[in-house]
Parts: sequence; C-alpha cells; structure tokens
Amino acid sequence: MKIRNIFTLVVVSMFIISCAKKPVPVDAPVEEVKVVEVDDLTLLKQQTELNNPFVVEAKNQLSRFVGDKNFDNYITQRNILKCHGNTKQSECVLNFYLTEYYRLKMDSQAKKTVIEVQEAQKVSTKLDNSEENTQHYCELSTNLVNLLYTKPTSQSVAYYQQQLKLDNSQLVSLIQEIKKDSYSHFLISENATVADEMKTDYLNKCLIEPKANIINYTTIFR
Amino acid sequence: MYNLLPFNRLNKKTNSRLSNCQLVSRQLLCLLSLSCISFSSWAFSFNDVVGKAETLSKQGYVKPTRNIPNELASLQFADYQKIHFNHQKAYWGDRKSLFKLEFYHQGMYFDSPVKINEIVNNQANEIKYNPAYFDLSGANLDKLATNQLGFAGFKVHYPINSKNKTDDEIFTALGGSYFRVVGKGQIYGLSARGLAIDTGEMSGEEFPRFKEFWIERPEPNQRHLIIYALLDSPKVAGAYKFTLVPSVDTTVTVEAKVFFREAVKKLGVAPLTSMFLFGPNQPSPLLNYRPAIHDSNGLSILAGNGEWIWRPLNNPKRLSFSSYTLENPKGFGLIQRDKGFSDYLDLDDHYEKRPSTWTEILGNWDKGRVELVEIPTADETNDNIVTFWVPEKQYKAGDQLSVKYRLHYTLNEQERYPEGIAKATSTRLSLGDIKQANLIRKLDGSNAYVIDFTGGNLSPNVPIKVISSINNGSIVSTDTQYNTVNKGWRVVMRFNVEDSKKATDMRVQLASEKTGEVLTETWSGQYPGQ
Repeated sequence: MKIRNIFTLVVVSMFIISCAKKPVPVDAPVEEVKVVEVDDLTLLKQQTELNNPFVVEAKNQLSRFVGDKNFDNYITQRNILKCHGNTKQSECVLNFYLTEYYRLKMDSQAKKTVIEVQEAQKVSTKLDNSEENTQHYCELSTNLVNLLYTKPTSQSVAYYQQQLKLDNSQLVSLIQEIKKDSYSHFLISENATVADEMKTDYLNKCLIEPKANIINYTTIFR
Repeated sequence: MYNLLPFNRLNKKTNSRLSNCQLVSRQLLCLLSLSCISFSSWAFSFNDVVGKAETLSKQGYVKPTRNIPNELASLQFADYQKIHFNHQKAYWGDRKSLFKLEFYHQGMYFDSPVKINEIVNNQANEIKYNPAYFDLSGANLDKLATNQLGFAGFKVHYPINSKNKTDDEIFTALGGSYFRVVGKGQIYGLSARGLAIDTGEMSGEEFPRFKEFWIERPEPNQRHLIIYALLDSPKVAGAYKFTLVPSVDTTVTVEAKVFFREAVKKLGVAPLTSMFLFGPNQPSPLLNYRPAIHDSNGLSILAGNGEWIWRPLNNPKRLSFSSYTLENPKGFGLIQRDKGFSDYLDLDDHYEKRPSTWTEILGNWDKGRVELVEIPTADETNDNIVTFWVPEKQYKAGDQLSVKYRLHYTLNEQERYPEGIAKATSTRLSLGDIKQANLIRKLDGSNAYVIDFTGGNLSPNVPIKVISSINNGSIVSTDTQYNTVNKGWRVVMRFNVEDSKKATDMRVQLASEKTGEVLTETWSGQYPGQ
C-alpha cells in the first residue's frame, strides 16, 4: 500500500471515529430500550441445545431429512412444544428428535420397498423376446399401423391399443405421427393395395429389427 | 418405410431438432423458390397439354407422315422383336429413381415417331432419339442409317416384384392410343386405350393416336409416376394425364379432356381391349388339352343402382354387339375370373397371371351404355374383345368432354365386391339332358348353362329361388342344387333357341325364397348365333 493511500485511510478512519464519538447533547431525548420477545420454540431450542451436542446432532440429523426450510414448521406441527417446561426438557427434546427421525426413516424405507416390489412385479409381467412373442407383437404393431393408415376411426384400434399397452396420449401421438405422412396417404388414396404392400414391408422389417419396430417394446418386453 | 415410426422410438428432442431443421429448410426453400420465380414463373402442367389439344383441335387434322425406310417397314413381328434396347442406357438408370424408362424403335406399322419429353423442375425438355439406345444387329439392320428416326413408344420399369430386380416392366405405350399395365406377379394381358371412335360402325373405326408424351422425372424414392399425353385423330384432339401407382395391384388414374373437330357417331370412353378364344362357357371346337385360352373371360359392370352384372365372354361366329343401358354407372371392366393355373394348364402363356382390369368411374357419367364388341377370331393372337362406355350425348364439332377414371390391374378381382353379394364364379355350357328312371342321362335337344354362384350369404339353410329371363328362346328348366364343394348354389338352366342364327340373351339371379332379397350378381349370358 502506498504512503499516500495509508495517509488517506488514517485520515478517513480518524474522521469516522470522531463522528462516532460525538458527545450527545444534554437536552437530547433518551431512546427507549425495546424488549424483544423470544418465542417458545426458539427458547426451547436455545435452552436444550446449550452445551448439549447430542441434542444438536439429533436436531441436525432430523433437519437433513425434513429440510431446513420447513424444519421449524414440521417440529411445531409434530408438537415439540410439549417438551417446553418439562423438568427434563433436554431429554424430552432429544427423545423427540430421535423418535421423529426413525419414524420418517422407516416410512421412507417402507415406501422404497413397495416401489421395488411393484417394479419387480412389472418386470415379472414383461415378456421375453422369444420368436413366438416377437412374431405376435410384430403382427399386432403392423396391424395397428395399417389400421391407422386406412381406417383410423375403426373400433378395432381400441383392441390393438390395449394389446400393445398404449395409454391414450401414446396412441394420440402415434396417430398424429401417421397423419403427417401425407405422401403415403396420397398413394393409398390412389391405390388401396399400397397399404397391403406397406403392411408386408412393415412386418418384414419388424421381424428383422423388433426392438425398433414393435410399438411400446420396452413396456412389453423384458 | 415412408415416414413410419413406432411409438417407443419417438424422441421429442430429435423431433424438435428436426422441426428446427425443417423450419430452416423451409425458409431456405422459400428463398430458393423466390429466386427461381424471378427467372421463370412457368411450370409445366396438365393445363399446358389441354391448351395444346385445344389448339390442335382448331386446326385441320394432319396425318402423321411415315419416316421409316422399307427395311424397317417390312419387318415381321418376330423380327421386330429382335430389335433390343440397350438396357445400360435406360433413361434415369444413372439416377436414384425407382422408375426407369426404355424406348421402342420404329418398325413395322410403327412408322411415325412419337415425341417424348421429360419434365424436370417444371420445364419440359425433349428426350432426343439416339441410335445408340438400340441394338439392331438381331434384325440384321445394324448398318442401317437411323439418325433421322424417332421413338415408336416407351416402357416404364419398376421393382414391382422384388426390390432387387429393377428392370421389370409395369407400363408400356406403343402404337395408337394403346397402353398396357401390370401389377405385382402379373404379366401383360389386355390393353387399355385413350379413346375409341366409331368402333363397329359401317364408316369404319377411327384409331386416335398419342403423338406426344411428357413424363415427370420422379424424385428419389417416389412411388408414383405422372405421364401426360397429347391425342390426335381426324375427329378429335385430347389431353391426357396418367397417374401411375405400381403396387400389389397397379392403378392408373386417367384424366382426359377431349376436343371435337367433327361429330362422332359412337364415342367409346375408357376402352379396354382383350382376347377370348375359348373357355368352359364356349369350349374349343378343336381338341385341346387346355381348358381355356383367354386374357379375359367376362365383362363385369356395377350399375348406378348397385346392381352387379356378370357377362361371360364369347368368341362368336359373327361380329356381335351387346349393350347395357345405364345411368351414372360406378364401374365396368374386363375380368379374368379363374381358380389359377389349373384353369389353363399353359406353361408358356400363364393366362392365370394376366390381370383383370376394372374401370372405377370417378364422377358422374350420366346416361349412356356399356358396349361389348365380340369379334370372331381363329387364334389367340388377335384381340377380339372390346368394351367401352358410350355416352348418350352425341358430340359434335366444337364440343368438349372431360372424364376421369381409375384403372385397377388386379389378380384379386373378387375383392371388388361388397360383402353379401355372391358371384357367378363359373359358367359351363353343356347339352341339356335329363336323368331317366334307369339313371342314364338322355339328351333332350336343349342346351344348358351350368352356373355356380359362390360367396355372399349363400347357405344351404337359406332356400333360394331363381329369377330368370330369356329372349329368342324359352327356358326349359332352372334346377338348383347346393354345392357342398364350393359352398355355393349351382343353377342348371336348360333352354331352347328360337332362331339359331340369332344370339340368345339370358339372365339369372338367385334370391331368398323367403324374403325375395336378391343374393347374387346378375348372370347375363349370351348364347351366340350359330
């Protein structure tokens, strides 16, 4: 730091200090000292956490689970304030934090187990890609695509939708994709047997590359 | 194929990328189009051909001049066939196109050239004749000077039967206004024509001719071809547009506008020409191992009121005309109705592979008649069957006619029928007989048609009755029997003819005995004059 800058700093500092130490005039009004009320939860926390690392650690553990943002709301709703005024306040709060933590952990574990079981069930209902299954679902896919090109309002569409496990939005998406193929629609309007040719080509292509051509392959097959 | 994507491959990211690309491409295209427009705003279309036809019709007819030397004019058909097109020089063969063109050389009665143009970027450019296209050595004419000649016609190649076989023919136009078409697994049979004029009239038939063609160059992977043609004839000039779509069946949508120089007595619209030599309804007079030889064996009509009519064809002893007066017909065609190879047994000509041609009428053709002309023939090399639509309206000089129809070339002709209509699937001619008490059949002097109706709602549990009529004769009996083999009903109609020199027309339908509902198409047979 240059000498000139240090000089400036000292002058400014002296100026600030001199402003801060200005004497108060005798006749200036006396400021009132406001008493800040501390709520019960904050008081409870302060009292139980003072010199008690076990309570602090238990609180932090629970907070990690619940999240800092909602922590106070959560513990208030769960009635931590029943510990307020308890003769063994710290023990009560510690017990509270630990009980909540393990309760939430067990719930989470249970949910995880349910999901795992559901996933396992889904996997067990999926098919293996045997030749027979591939042939069958290639035929279903071919028939649905052909139907959507030639008779999109046919009642048979619902049958194929169900067989191929398509939900409504998936079906709508497929219909819209096919609608965009205006050239094929032109050819079919000129010559209906073009649809037969497309059907044969689609089936052959599907049998060669079933994963790429069976509709909803990953939902149907393992 | 085309633009098919199974659902699990739909990728929103990819689509949005594509959408962005497409948007950019469209913008670029707009820019390019604008720049093109600034150089040339004219694009060749059907209207140009219509304009040419109209102009031509206002001028006097000029007969095409013969321009071939005698060496070519005097060729017999077998020698003409030895003139080959050099396949390596197929037009569009060097392009990424599913279609290729080859050309016919002038020779025999193909003695005037036809002009053939290609349309590229909406501009028409002539495809110039070049002797290098052809190999004339097979006809011993390779030394002949041919630079001044032109093309006699053209053919279209397409991988109709196999993706790897790109030289199968699907369309051929050679001579007059004739053209032939095939679909998958088919071989050439009957022909179609642009127009028939005064067929069978005492004044003699006039044969209009396609004098110029324009063919739109297809995009890579394009699966349809557009061909325009200019028709010329002493009495008419016309503009034609053909939309050719090859597939299992091949279709040709024909749009035509005809301008009349002079009055035409009998106008034949959408004519079809075929061959019928003999079949079970008219057996060969000479011993032949083949049960039948024909490119077509029946005329099928769908009337405006929904009636289906089946008229088995004949090879008559004298020229014969049959007419079906109709209003707003839906379609008609020359049909090859059979059960396959066993109906013909010919390993060279494979008549079972010759297509039926069904004319689907697009629009209202008002009043008129379907006319069938049957011409005596001694062999199968002559096309002796013609059918066409004759409008009731008589066209005179200055008139115009617009028509649109679609030709379907198919081996599955019975799929045209709606459910519930049984068809006359076979017609056999026999001498009439009765079974005597001693079980020996005795001829009774009558003739008989044995007609099998199959399909529709025919059932042994639905009793049927025969509705029949005859002119120039009388019906002796119409016996019916359920056919347990083909699950249909057989009608044996014995009849006598009043004047054997005249043709005898008959009609047979089957109806429900209980409700009167007609269950079959109308069998409309003609026993030819003897």
